[in-house]
Order: sequence, then structure tokens, then C-alpha cells
Amino acid sequence: MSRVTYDSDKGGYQAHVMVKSVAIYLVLILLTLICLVPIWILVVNSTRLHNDIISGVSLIPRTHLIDNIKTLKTNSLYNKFFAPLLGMRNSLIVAGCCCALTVFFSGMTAYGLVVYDFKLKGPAFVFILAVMMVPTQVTAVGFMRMLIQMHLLDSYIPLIIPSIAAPAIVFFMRQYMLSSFPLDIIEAARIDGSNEFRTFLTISIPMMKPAFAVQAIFAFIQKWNDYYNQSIVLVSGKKNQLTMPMMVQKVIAIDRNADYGANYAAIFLSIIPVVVIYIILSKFIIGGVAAGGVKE
Amino acid sequence: MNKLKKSLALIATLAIASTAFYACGDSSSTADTSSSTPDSSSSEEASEESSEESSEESSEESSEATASAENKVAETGDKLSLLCWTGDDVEKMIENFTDANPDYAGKVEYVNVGSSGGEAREQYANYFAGDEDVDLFVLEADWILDYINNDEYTAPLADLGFTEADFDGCYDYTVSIGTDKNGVLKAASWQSTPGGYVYRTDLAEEYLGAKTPDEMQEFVKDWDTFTATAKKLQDDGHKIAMADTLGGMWQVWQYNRSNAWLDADNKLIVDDYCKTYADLAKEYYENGYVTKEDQWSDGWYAIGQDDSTMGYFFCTWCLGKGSMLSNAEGGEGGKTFGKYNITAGPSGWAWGGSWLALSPKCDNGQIAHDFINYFTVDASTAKDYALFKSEFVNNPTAMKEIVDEGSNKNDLLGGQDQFSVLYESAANIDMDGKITAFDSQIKDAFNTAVTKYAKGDIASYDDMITEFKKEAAKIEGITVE
Amino acid sequence: MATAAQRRIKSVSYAKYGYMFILPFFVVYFIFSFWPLIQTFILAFSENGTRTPGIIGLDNFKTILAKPAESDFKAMGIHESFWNGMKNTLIIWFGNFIPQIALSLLLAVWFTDLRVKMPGKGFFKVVMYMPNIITAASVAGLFLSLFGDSSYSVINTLLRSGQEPWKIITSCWPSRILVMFIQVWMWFGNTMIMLMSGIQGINESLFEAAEIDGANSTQTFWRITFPLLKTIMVYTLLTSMIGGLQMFDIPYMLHTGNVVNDYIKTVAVFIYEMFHGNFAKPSFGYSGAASVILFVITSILGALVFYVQRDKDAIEKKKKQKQAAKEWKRKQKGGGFSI
Repeated sequence: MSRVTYDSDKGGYQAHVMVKSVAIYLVLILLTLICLVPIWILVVNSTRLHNDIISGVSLIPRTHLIDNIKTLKTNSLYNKFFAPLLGMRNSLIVAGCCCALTVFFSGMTAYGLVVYDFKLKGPAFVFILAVMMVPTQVTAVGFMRMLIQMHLLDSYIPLIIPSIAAPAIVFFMRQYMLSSFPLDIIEAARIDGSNEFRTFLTISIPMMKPAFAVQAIFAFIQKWNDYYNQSIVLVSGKKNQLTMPMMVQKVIAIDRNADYGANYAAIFLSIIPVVVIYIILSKFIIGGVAAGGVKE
Repeated sequence: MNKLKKSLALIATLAIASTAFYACGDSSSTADTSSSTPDSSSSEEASEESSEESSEESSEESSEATASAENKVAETGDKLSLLCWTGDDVEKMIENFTDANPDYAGKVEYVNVGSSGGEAREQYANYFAGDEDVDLFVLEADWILDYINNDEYTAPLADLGFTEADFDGCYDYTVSIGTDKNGVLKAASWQSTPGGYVYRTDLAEEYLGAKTPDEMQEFVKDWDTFTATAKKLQDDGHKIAMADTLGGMWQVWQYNRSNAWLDADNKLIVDDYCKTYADLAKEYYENGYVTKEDQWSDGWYAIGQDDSTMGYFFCTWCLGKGSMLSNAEGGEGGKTFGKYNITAGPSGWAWGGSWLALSPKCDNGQIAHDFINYFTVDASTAKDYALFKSEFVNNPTAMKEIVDEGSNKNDLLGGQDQFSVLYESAANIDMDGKITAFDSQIKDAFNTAVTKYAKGDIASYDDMITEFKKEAAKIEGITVE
Repeated sequence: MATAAQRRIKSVSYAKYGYMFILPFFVVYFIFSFWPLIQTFILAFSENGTRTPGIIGLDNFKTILAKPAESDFKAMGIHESFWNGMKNTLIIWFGNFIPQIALSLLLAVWFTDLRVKMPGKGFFKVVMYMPNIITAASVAGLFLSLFGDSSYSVINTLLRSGQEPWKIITSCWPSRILVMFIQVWMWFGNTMIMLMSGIQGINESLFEAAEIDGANSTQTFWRITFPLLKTIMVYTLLTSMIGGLQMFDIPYMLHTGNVVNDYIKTVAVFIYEMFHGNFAKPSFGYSGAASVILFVITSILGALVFYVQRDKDAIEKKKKQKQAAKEWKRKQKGGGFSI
């Protein structure tokens, strides 16, 4: 159409974009600093010795990370409950299973609520919505009593199985499906003779990949860091059962004679796996939205 | 988009309305509450004279005399499980005990329950209820009474074959605290926890001319003198505080209360002593006689190295290797390593203490008996342990011997023997009838209120007491008027 | 015109699959969450001061909600600390939600803008989510050493050296603002990713069409992104609200010593302290009652958001379905059948 006007405008437009990009970058760099500096201090402190740490802050890493890890290993104040590899393995089991179950079953529940029409669909959704609002702090009472009755204390079962029912994630998945899931594709699959579960597994899940990825990351990290539930289930605090946050919590809670270098090293060790897993999975989120399929 | 705005606005209105009705102002509602405390300015003397003459130095070697009593506890377990939230003491005890009794090597196990006293209490409940092995467990002065007076948690030491005479060699107050309301002995302590004033020798000499602990004691011999010294330092233009933290001062003062926090009916006692201390705390805080750091914070240790503080109120368990004093000095090779000495300070005091209690589930009667016997009853083994861990053990005879021999030299104190300084105050410790089952919460509530008052967040003493009472009243089991 | 397959599909009832898909959720929920929830409600009506409480009725609610007599220190203490918690919770929630959602939305739009080629986009996204993966306890410890009351905290050594230290942690508004900041710091990346996944769910052709029509970013945002982001926004608002009302970790841990700072004590902290603070004589009743009150408030707010934001399309669809059903019935009667 009016190509001429567009061209004459181009210079100004580009300048505008330039200014905007610079502004955006400034904001982003500032935010990056705000996000990273505290974490950087944590990393730096894990490489400094106790006495350096209590005498002030520094942004320059030292060389004592190994010493601090050695302190964790040899000092009986720590090695009674802190064993990083063991903790990571336990946390991986718990967070990994929880994450898989949560994402899969929440997706399944949301799918059931969106794709099918049935009498109790409305009430079921309202119920999920309502229980999303239950404060977790106090249901713990009943939870603990139940664990004692069912002899489930000091077991991973009550940590893992309940993650099948995650109201908030079901809600997210439902909202996501409502806004961007093409129901016609299911219809098409049915015509092709695919049964319902296969449709869900082979067609729907791949299409919901972005939502799954986001929730998987959130769920994994949340479960990894979920000290509260772990502490009420793994009551005996047996070293070979302890998860990473439980170990870290114990380190932080040492109320006398703590070695701060060792403390920071413990925190540092505890976040490495999450960071790694997060970075691996985040690529999936960042690049993986193309799997859109049919849209409206 | 409009909808979102609307909903946000609605929620906002709702929320603001609900807050407006109820909780405005942090202290406005407390300001007009009439206080029931008389506004008395008469202050009570801080240091309380101990009426008890501990003349019972007649602790013979009584450990053998118990052989006749019967140990009724089962012998079915293979290991003695000792529950505690920190290995600080327990691991050293086990090490020392098994070194002396090679037969028991590997048969005593420290089971970690949490990493603080509070956490331990929750986990104890699970251990007691479940089918875990529990033989002995550790109790702290602040909450020991809950356990001593509950037969589901603790069994009489007589079950192990101990008689009360066995503990004659211990400090009396440790025995009375370990005894329940029916007069049954339920727990025994391996330590006594007298405290003193630990000060910087170099600064004391430079600013005050005090060359020895005895000379320094003259500057801190009672609270009036202590305050005068603090004032003198400020007047001389030194930016230095005499006391470490309000928390530290409070430990000393709290011990010297003449009343327990609760009367026989569990009614809160707020006496003139509270006012004396609160006003002193405010005076100290405002004039810089005490630092503005918090106890247990990084800053608490940092002030030990930068010449901003003359000294700390520390007790026996703050003075060992890797302990609070070591942190305050910056560890071995730290800026002030070895530059401290201890002196008795303005008033005798003690801080906490730990007891060994017997679980009704105990199934290792013999080891349990021998373990308790080793650390509390037997003076010679207790002495071994005192030297092994640099611990002030619960046995005056053993401590006296060490003091007389002069065999204890503490590097953190520049080679000084802290036992000789604290030996006398240990003899005067009297906590009997002055601790309650709710002490940890009440003390926290009071100290928090006083800190706010000293800082100026609470305007008057009456308001402070009202706030303290409301906070204390929230604790079930006590009444406040 | 209907093929055999289509006819078969229409005649099969899929309702049972709906039940099958949602069944695992409900079974697990009832065992592990609903039963404990009922216990909480029972506790709300139970006595305090014992680990095996009996039912006493509405007293706990009365103590918490009604203004007690001035001389009744106990009721005053409980009443005031509950409402102090409520006030703090709302102040801190508003103070963190509004900047957080604004920042997250802005970033989400920037990151998903097709027009702006942004090198390093992935890096920024990864970094901004980072604070969320650290355990709350570590975050609290970290910020205590940065903004602590001590003369030796980072902020006091940098800005107040040789002077009276700032007491951020134990002062009213500074401590609240710090908590708000920490909450934003921890959660804006999370919210941003959530919103991004929402934006990416929007059909790209809409943005392309807008670009061809010459719409600028602002117009695209307000006309396309924002309206279509509605469902995800509702989700964000709702979860943030629920999370906000249950805010616990940071306020609970941001202090030195044993006592939680009054100015940032939230309702969740109140509930926790009533439950765990006094081991021998716990106040289960107050703890339960406060939870129930919190539950009611959250439900009302949630219902409100939902009512205002309810999915119009879904309502339309329902209407249409009803109409279709009617028509179908009519046609059934008439015997005609066609698609």
C-alpha cells in the first residue's frame, strides 16, 4: 500500500527501536545484577573460611571451598547429618518422583475436566478450586496423626504419593488447555480409532509440552525445597533418609559454634543440582513452544 | 482488562476495610491500657545472697556404695542410644567413656535429634511414641520440668539402682532440678554452668590500667561499679561498650531474680526487679554501655575483634575450643586470640545446663547405669572428663582438685584457668524453685519487650509490661493478671 | 453426510472417561489431604493447652474475632496478634504482588515480542528465575547478612560505617519493605515464566496480523496480549493471593535470636506458633480456628476473582451446548438426523 510513507518513516522507527532496546537492556542488566549478587555472595562465602566471613563481605572468591567441604565431612557437628551425595540422591528420588507424578496426573485430571462432559464435572472443578485455598500449615496436624496410624512415618511414600493430587497445578493445566488446546484434534483422533488413553498419551501430552515443562520445573524445584513436609514425615532424621534441604536446614539451625564457611558450602552444594536441572530443563521451555499444533 | 482492575479494586477495598477496623497502630491499643504494676522506683539489690552454705564438702568416694541397690532395667538392647540435638557434649562424653571402658566400645550411640533444643522436643515426642530405641536423652534447664514431671517420658534413676545418696557429691541445685514434684530423682547433670565476665586484657590495661583479673574485678565488682566504669570509658572518649549485648546482660540478670517467673498457681510474677533491669538496659543501650548487636548474630562475634567491646558475659560452655569465645577471638590466629581473661564480674550467675534423663523404654540398664555413674557420681572419672573436654563437671570435689593442681590452662584465655575463677560462683548457684516449665518462652517474651523499650520502640515502662504480659498470656498453662 | 465412524463416536458416551481421568486425583486427595483438613476443622472447635483436645465449641473464634476486655491479657494477646498477623499479611502481599505482576508482565512481553531480536534472551530468563530455586531458609540467612541490624551487615558496613547502624530487621516499615522486596526477588521470575507460557499459547498469527496492520507494541499488548492472557492472569492472581495469605517462610526466618519480628509476623506464622510454640501445652484450638478463618477469607477472595473473571467463552459455549441439545432433542423427535 503506502510503501513510500513506510520507507520515509523507517529511520525514525529504527532509532526508536534502538532507544527502546538500550532501555530494555539497561533494565535487564540491572535486574540480572539484583538477582545474581546475593547468589554470588553465597557462592563466594562458600569459598571463604569462617573467620574471613565474620569479618566482612567480599565479592572476590577465595580458594577454600574444598576446605569447607572437608569441614562438613570431618567436623562431627556436621557429619552426623550432612552427607551431600546421599542427600542429593534422596532429594532426587523424592523430587523426581513427585515431579513426574504431579505433572502427569495433573495433566490427566485437567484433561478429564476439559475434554469430557460429565455430570460431576462442574462440582469436581469447584472442589479442586476450593481445596486449592486450604492453608497447608495446619492440615499437617491431621496428616501426622494419619501417618502414625498408617505406620508411614520415616517413609518416602507419604512424600511422593500425595503429589498425585496437586490442585493448583490441575488448575493451571486446565486454564492452559482452555486457552490453547485444540479440541478438534481429539475428535480427529477418535475418528482414526485411537482410544482415549492413547490419545491422551501420544497426542495431548506432546501438545501440552510447554505447560508440562513449566510445571515440571516448578514442581521439581518446589519439591526439592519442600523442607516443611519432609521434616514432618522423616521424623527420626536418619542420615541415610535425609534430603538435601533437611540437611541444609540442620546446618543452618546449628545454634552454637557453627563454621560459617561450612554452612555456606552446604547451601552451595544444595543448590547445585537444582541449578543444573533447571538450566537443562529451561532450554526446553525457552525453545520448545513451537509444538503448538492446531490453534483455534 | 476492566474486569481485572475492578476485581483488584474490590479486593483492595475489602482488605483495607478489614485492616482498618482491626489492627491499626502497633502500640496505640496498648497505650491506654492501665497497668497493674505499681510504679515503684525502689530497686532491688541485684546480687542475691545465697543463704545456703554449701558446707557439705563431705563427698566421699560414694560410687561404690551403690552396688547393693538393684538395677531393674531390662538388658535386652545391644546398644545404648543417647538422644541429643548436638554432639558438642555427647560425642566427647561417649569418646571419653568408651576410652575408659573398652568393653563398651561401639556400644554407645549418639542419635541426633534436630539441631536445636526446640526441634529436639518435637522429635523426642516421636521417638517416645514410636518403636525407636531410646535409652538416655538430654534435657535443658529451660524446659526440663515438663519431662521430669511426666512419667511417660522419664523413669526414676532408682530403676537403674541409684540411690539419692549417690548424688551427694553433685552440686545440690542440679539434684533438685532433676527431682520431680513428688521427690523422685529423674535426671542427673554432668555439668555446672557458672558464668563470669570475659574481658579484653589489652584494652583493660590500656584504658583502665587493670593488669590482672583481680585488678579488673575491682572495676566490675558490682553493677554500680560496672556502670561507672562504662561511663568512665565513654567520658574518656573511647568508643567502647562494657557489655556485649542486651541478650548477654539479660542472662546474668535473669539468673539473679529472686522470684521464679511463676508462682505456685502458675501466675506470672512481674516484680520491681523487672523495672530495675528494664531501666538499666535502656540506660546502657542509649549511652553505648552495651553494643547494639544481637546475641547469636555474626555481629556478636565480630565485636570481639574490633575493639568496640570490653567484654562478654560468658559461662563455662562458652569457653571451650571452637566455642563462642573462640569465635569472638577469630579462632586460632585470630586478631584477639588469647587476649581475653575471665573474672567473676558484677554478680554470680549461671546459664542453662543439661541433664541426662532415663527413658522408660531403656533396655540397656547396665550401660545406662555406668554411663550416668561415670559422669555424675564418680568423682575421679568426672575429673578425667573435666580435663578431657575442659568442662566444668558437676562434682565440686573433682573441680577442687583440678583448681588446686592448677592443671587446667585455657589457651583462649591466654593460659588462665577459668575453673579457679568460676569455682566459687559454682558453689553459690541456686536455681532451685526458680525455674519453671515455661522459662524459655517467658524469657524470650521479656527480653524482646525490654529490647524494644531500650531501642525506643515502646515509649514507657508500663507499655512495655503490658506488651510483655500480653505476649506471656498467650502461653497456655500460665495465667496473667 | 455422517460417516460410520463419526456416527459411532457420537453414539458413544465419553462421560465415563471423564471420571476415569479425574479419579486418581480424587482418591489421593481424599486420603492424604481431605482427611487432615477435616481434622483441622475439628481442632478449630477444640480446647487449647493439651495435646489431646476435646471439643469446646465456638470459643476460639470468639477470642480471635471479638474485642476482648482490657484486663483479659490472654484474650488481648491472642486477638491482637491474630489481627496484627492479618494486617501484616495483607500489607506485605499487596506490597509484593503489585510490583511483581507489573514487572513480570513487562518482562514477559519483552521476551515474547517477535519484533525485538534480543541476543541473550535465554540467559536473562534463566537468571531471573534463579532466586526461586534457593531454599527459603538460605534466602533468609543471606538477606540477614546483607541487611541485618548488625553494624557488620553489608548494608551497615557500606553505608553506615562509624555511625549508628540501621536496624532494618527490627523496624516496622523497613522490615516489611525488605520482606516485600525478598518476595518479589524470589517470585518475579516464576510469575514471568508463567505469563510467558500464557503469551506463547496465544496464536502467533494474531501477532503477525497485528504487525501487518501496523499496530505498535502498546496497542498489541492492550488489544491482544492482555485480553488473551486473562485465564493465565486469573491463575497468577489466584495462586499469588493464596500463596500470599499463607506467606510463612521468609517472615518466619528473617530474624536473629528466637523471636519472630512482630512487624512482619503473618497469619501463617501465628498459626505455626500457636501450634508449635508451646510444646507441652500447644494451642491447637487457636491454630485451627485461625486456619479456618484464613480458609474462609481465601475462599471469598477466590470466589470473587472468579466471579468477576469467569470465562465468558465457557458460558457462551454452555449456552450453545444447551441450545444444541434442545435442537437435537427436537430433531430426535422429528426423526431427522444430520450433522
